[in-house]
Amino acid sequence: MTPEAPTAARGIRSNAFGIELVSETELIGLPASLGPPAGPATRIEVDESNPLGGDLSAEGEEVRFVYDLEGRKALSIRFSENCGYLLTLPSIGSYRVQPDGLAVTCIPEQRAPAWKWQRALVNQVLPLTATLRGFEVLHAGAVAIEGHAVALVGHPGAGKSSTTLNLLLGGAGFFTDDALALKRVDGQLMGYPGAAVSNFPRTERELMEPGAPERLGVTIADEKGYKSLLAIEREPAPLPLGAVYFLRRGRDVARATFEPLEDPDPTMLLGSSYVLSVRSPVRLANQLDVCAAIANQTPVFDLLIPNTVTARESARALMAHVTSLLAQERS
Amino acid sequence: MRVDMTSVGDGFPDKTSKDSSDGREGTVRVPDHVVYRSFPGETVVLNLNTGRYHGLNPVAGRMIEALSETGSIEKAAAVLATEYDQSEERIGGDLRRLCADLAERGLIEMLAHRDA
Repeated sequence: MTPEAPTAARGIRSNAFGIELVSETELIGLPASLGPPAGPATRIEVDESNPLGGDLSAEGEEVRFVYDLEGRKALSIRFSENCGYLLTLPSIGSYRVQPDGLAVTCIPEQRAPAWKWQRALVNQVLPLTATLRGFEVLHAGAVAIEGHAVALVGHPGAGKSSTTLNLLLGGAGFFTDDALALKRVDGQLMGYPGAAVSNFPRTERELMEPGAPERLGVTIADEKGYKSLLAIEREPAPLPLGAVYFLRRGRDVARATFEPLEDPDPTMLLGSSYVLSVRSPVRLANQLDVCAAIANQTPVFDLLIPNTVTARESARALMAHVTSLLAQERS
Repeated sequence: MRVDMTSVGDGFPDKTSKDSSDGREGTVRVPDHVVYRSFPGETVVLNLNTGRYHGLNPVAGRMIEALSETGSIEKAAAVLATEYDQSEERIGGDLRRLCADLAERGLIEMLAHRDA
């Protein structure tokens, strides 16, 4: 018998957050890739044998948890050196991530709609997986403008998704909704597109002109009426990081105001990480390296937005600012 | 020169360290579990064993860089004396104090100590 030559992993290929992915089924937010793979793939498997999503709560040490507004645990992340990471989202499912990030097993709860556990996969599991694969993931939305990734950092509710969606209506390309994967390549800081989905706050939908939401993408699901999940065409390739904007509510300004941060506080950058549960020495060193590269190589601004200014207005001001900034850098 | 060091969070001894005069002419190295990166306003030193970050002002940041490059307080003092247009004696004193602080936090290793 002739030994079989190694072949590319079988299944549907896609990519997000810088990592190649292979899965047996098509997954929300992960459109099929056509080009040659950029590196070893992370295999995503779905184990539907356990209708309760698996009772894995005793495994390893809990390294992170998040409570919802009602005081219930909404996310638990456990780690053990042998098994890797285990993320559990009650009513949605559990996800195992191998320590090297090369395999992910999804164990959805039977009653969880597919879009819900797949959204958790792209929102929570894949950013962690990308971190294990050597990327640093910033808690930021991002758009593509003139061949650069432009990051919008801010606390939940600061307006990242709304501003991002309005930037898209103004001609920017969609890069990522809430998690931006970064890596230094030959000394240059590169951004990697995330999943091809975005949250769409209902309040923002209501403020948009008729027809505008449909121009952005296709609504996949509606969650409790306050936000929906939108499938959006995504930029296909990594782009150099062009600028970082920290969105803040500005009480003392009358309009969207840009303040350059010549000397960005390292703790502010380190604290803007999306993934808090991976604390290995390799990751911590990489995180410091990427944050220093942002501070030293990338224009960083505070964007102060008064409550009276809509996301559409702040997006328009931001687009003008980015365009002017990139023109200055070219000249 | 102002040489400042801060640490983030609790759990470290006070910065009131004894003057390590036994560190004169000492050989120093930044251990593998310590990484540092320069930011525009400060240098952040990370102890990978503890996961703790420490901030150095730009002068102290340049000092740890010179210590890492030269491997000795004496040689680093000679380099920095030229850069900052100060006497080697004065720079050496600042370096010894900084080294004592860094060593106390496990951020450098003093490999050899010889009395002058």
